Amino acid sequence: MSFLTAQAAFYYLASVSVASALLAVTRKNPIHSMLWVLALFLHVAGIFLLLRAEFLAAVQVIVYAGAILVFYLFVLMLLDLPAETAGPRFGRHWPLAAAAGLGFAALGGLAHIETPDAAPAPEDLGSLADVGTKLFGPFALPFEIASLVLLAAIVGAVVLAKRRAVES
Amino acid sequence: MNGPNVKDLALLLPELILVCTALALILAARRIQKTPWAAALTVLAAVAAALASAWLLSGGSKTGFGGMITVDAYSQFFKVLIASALALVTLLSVTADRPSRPDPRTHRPKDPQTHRPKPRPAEYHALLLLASTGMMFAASAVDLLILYLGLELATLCSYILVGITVEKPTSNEAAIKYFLLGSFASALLLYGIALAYGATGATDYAAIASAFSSRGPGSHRILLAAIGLLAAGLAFKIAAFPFHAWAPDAYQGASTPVAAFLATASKAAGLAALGRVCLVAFAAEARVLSSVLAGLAGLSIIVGSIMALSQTDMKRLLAYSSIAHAGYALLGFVSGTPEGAEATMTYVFLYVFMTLGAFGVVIALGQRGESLNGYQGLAAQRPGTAALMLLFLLSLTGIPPTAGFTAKFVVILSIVRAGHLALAVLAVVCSVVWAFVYLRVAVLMYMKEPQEPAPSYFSVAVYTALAVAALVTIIGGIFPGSLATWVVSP
Repeated sequence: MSFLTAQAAFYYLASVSVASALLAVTRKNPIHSMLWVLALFLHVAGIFLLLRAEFLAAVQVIVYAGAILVFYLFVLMLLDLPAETAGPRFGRHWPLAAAAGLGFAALGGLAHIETPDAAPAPEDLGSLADVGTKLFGPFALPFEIASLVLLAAIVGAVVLAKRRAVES
Repeated sequence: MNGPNVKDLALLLPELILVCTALALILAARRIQKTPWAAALTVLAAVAAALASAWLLSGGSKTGFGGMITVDAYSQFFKVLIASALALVTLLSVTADRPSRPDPRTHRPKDPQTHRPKPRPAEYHALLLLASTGMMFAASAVDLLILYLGLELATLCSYILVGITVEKPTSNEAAIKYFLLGSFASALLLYGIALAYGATGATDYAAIASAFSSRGPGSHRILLAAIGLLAAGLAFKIAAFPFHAWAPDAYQGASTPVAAFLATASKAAGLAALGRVCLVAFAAEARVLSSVLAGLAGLSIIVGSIMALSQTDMKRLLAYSSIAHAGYALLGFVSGTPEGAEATMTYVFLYVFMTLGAFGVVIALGQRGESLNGYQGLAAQRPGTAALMLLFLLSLTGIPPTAGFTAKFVVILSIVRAGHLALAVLAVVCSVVWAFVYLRVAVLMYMKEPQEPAPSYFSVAVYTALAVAALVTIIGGIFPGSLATWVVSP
């Protein structure tokens, strides 16, 4: 990809990300907000792809656009949507939140300082092939322990949910 | 970094035994409705894991999985300790399963079905096994990644174990508090690991240590921040000040065996991890570490002692006791020498057994054992149980010839040798405060008239566990050198 196409792609992805993020917080209907968030996630995944972080892009799509968004939608279904849509979109504290957001953006602009003590990054860090071979090669043991952590979490969720059923 | 070798799996034998038993329990969960079966299986697995740990050591120390875990005297010592704590806690859980009297203020079950306590023995024991597996990984870890995952496995199971009790409304609240604070501490730990990786490009202890030695001490600012964050994350796991706030609530809300498990095995694993991080990975920054640890230790001892004075709930009292004891155990690491680490290992070993003993008596007394007033006149009703409690309390205070004296003696000796005289004086003064706290219970047991009917007799399992704990407490006090061949610093 030539430099110019890459730049054009970046500005497209970045501007659509910002626009969909703005739309997500300003829409009255929470379902519409969710759909804009989906657009945001997909475009951010595109930015990761431009940076050659394929693994992060895949995780962004699978975990955020897939799992977390569905999770949000489930929560939304428990709400009273018409009442939610009728009320004002922002609480009284929105200027405070906006100021905090702008402050954070300014901080991002300032954060170009070089960290003096950091070790140099490895060559092909973050490529899909690299992550795959590492996960089943040198990092097989941590990978397996992580699976035990997930197993414990699943068993725990079942146990706690069953406990509620016994109580009620 | 070399890839893993299938032969390396043999190094994980104790962990594999525990994981396979846990998986078997989960698979057969519907068939296991009686606690004794699950408990027997768990105790067998724990004993097998302890034997396997000791047997592995006979082949000398080895590292495996590309230098991520190690099998050495230090790790195997803690694995045997964790397995023993698991076995004793499992034995103690057998009684806790019996229906206790409902608390009339908060809970009034209409249907006997709704009041079935702890209906899922298989899952309960599987979670205990998985938690112990995580702790063993943490003890064996020579890589920050394994350390984090091991501790995370252990704490995740602990959150669930705290919230598993059906008959207590406080259990829920305790589990959520513990979960929120625990997640925060895990984030600190992870941030520390990320900074260490960012500064050195490695997560294994040896590489971090060599990155330190290539520069002068104190010059590596990112690594100093990493040390602080790692120390904070690990201090939470052992419930040291200022990360102790979760402990009293979690112990009070959890069922008593789970509280005993958190106070012993969990603390041993946290100290094992902290010891290796301090002595191997960050050994070059001994001066910074020593002042951080001295602060944590001193404040834990002071805060634990002062807060314990006003407690009326036995489990909260034991929680503050565990906070202060975490401080005493940390004293050994303050000196940063192998002798200091060995003192801490001795301390933790003896502490685990005497604390399990004290929790065991609380369990044996059932509902009555949870408040201090329940101990009034116990000596007249149950002289044997009262004598056992007295033994454990004397040991926790540190009065010779019990194991507690040996334990306190070695750690205080190690900081005197390291030149921290003020800390040593503080440790001794707070022991006096603790004598007052613990002996208050003894006075209630021996000098008051009984207020409540005598507690019923309990299962053989609980008495077995109490006998083991009492035996170690006495032997550790009379033969203080008996542990010396086993404690070897990393």
